[in-house]
Amino acid sequence: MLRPLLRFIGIYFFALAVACALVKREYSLHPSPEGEVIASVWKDGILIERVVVADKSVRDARIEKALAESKGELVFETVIADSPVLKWTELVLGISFVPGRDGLRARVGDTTTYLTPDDLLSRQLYDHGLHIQTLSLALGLDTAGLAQLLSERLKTNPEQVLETASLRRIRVERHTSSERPRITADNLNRDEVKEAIVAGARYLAREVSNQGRFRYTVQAPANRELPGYDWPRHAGATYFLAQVAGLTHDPLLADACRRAASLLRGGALSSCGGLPCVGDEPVVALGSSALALLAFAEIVERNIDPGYRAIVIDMARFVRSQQRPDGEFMHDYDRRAGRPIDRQGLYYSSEATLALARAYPITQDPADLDGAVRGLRHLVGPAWSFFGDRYYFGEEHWTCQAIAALWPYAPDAKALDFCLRWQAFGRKLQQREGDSYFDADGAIGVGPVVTPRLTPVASRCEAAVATLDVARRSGVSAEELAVLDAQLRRALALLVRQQFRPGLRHLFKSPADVHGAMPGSEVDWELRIDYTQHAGSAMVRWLEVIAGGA
Amino acid sequence: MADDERAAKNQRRFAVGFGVTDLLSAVLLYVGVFEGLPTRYWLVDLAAALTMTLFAGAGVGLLAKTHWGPWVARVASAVALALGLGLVSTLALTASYLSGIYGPVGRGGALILSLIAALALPYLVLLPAAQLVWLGPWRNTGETTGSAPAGS
Repeated sequence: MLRPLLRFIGIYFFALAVACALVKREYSLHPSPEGEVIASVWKDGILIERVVVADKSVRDARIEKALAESKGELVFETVIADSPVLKWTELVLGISFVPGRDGLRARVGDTTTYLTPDDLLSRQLYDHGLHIQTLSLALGLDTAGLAQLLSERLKTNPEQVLETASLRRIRVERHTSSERPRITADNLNRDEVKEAIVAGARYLAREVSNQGRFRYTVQAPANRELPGYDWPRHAGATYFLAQVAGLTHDPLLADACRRAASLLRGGALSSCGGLPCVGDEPVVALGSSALALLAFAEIVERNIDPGYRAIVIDMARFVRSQQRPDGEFMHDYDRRAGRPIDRQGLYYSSEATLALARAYPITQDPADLDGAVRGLRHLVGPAWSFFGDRYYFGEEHWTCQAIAALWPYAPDAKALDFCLRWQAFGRKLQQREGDSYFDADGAIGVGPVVTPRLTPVASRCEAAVATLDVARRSGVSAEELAVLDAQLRRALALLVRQQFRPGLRHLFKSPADVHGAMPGSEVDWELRIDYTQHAGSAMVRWLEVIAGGA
Repeated sequence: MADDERAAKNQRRFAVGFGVTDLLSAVLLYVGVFEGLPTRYWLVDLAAALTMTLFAGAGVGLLAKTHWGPWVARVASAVALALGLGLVSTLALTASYLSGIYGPVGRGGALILSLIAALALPYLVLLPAAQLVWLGPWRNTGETTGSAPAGS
């Protein structure tokens, strides 16, 4: 029995190895040295004309006419390689295209059409396929959207087009008239970062209505607002506007900041046990008030409106009233029952700690300092104490900012050690140039088929700036400072590269409206206010404390 | 006579060892598939439920010295081996496909899939193969056969 079984298993694994080698070879890209050149004229995010030519120097009459009539932008996409794709199942088809890099060539009968990366980006089909709610992940092409787009081009039925069409994956290189030099960790400089900051702040300033409400999420290609709102992120965006208004003394930014802040202090404000808190729901979350306190403190500190001093004092009292004797915070307040609810979620404890630390120089109330110190001790002590806590860290990024804010009043070496280890962990996750087809250098990736998100990079940058700031002042070795600085520069360079300045403007309905915004990822162009805020706040602090002042 | 007793004792030790391992495999499958996976997919759930039931039956049968225990253990091992090889094939071919599509970054995915394959190998390939070897050739006697002990 043993021998036949071993023989069978041996033959099986040999056959499997051969099959794997064949599959890899077949589905890898095959270079097309004389690949087609797809010339497209885009105007306001709409494809006006498309012609496939042999090379870029060939001027087609239809393209010339479209350019003359529409005053649009001419974009060339050159096919440099192609490969077959599996059409079964839809999930497999969906993950068969590298987001932002691959398009497809489709044939039905004698008709051939191309769906280029620009087409797929314009419809926002990348990374909108399979949604895994439990992991907050979306990956693969939206195949229903793909079928719809393909059927429009081939003038066929969308329900059958994927079955009837012959599909090949194509890799293209894009050439536009608005290309700018690539920003890297090596050539990142203060001027570039300052431009990025101002562009981001102006984007958010344009998004604040007269009533002080932001356009919370915008779908960039259509410049369409999407549903949803969130007070902590409103407060965060207000905080960023205050940072930049203070940095640049730009009155437009200061006005936008005041509008957003006045909504927080006005319509969004409630009473929680006689103290001011943000949110009008029966149960309000601590994070809204903590970040509002942070924004108000910034407004006072940057001298945008000293009149916010009173609410800083009162709101700090509310935040303190949510603190337990062990330093932990109770994250909810039941307005009907008039008492805190002792339950915890992500971020709020560290946001509250940072907010108290930033409020203290304004309030000069020792209770605020004490609350922040106890909050920080809890965050880097009992709150992160479990088997394996030296080897795993989460996304939490406010704690290290709190350490920097508290350092002048209450330096905490244990907390600095925590942040240095957190950054070392992040360094291991950070990708490098060439690690993938994506714009990888400085990115934090979660897998081979998911485009790296930019907000985790931005929020880690905020924490990294704070850590580096404190590390420089506290005798950390030059070697460790150097690796931390390099890690931060690579991440910041990625953010500066990916910011819409102007981005692929030919794919936007209104390029001027989204100029300066930070997208969710290289291919996810939903613009939520906190994406720009986290990236912008990190850049402001880098400019102020690392790059030698504004 | 003493040799027979020693052989019978050895066989009993094997039966207990495989019985316990079969039960552990059933529990592991339950935890891995029904508690661990984030979403339900009937194909995976059905295969896991079938294998889990067979492993549990084999474990109970072997530990309780029933006459049907070795028979169920054979079926469980054959089914698990087929599913295990199918799983390994699917994972390996998927890793190759992703590696073709995504190039360098596909290596990361391939590594993850290979790791999953390596984790599944002991339970879904090595264990059933070893158990099949211990149970010996499949004969249509209506009794347990080969090197495995009679169930009763």
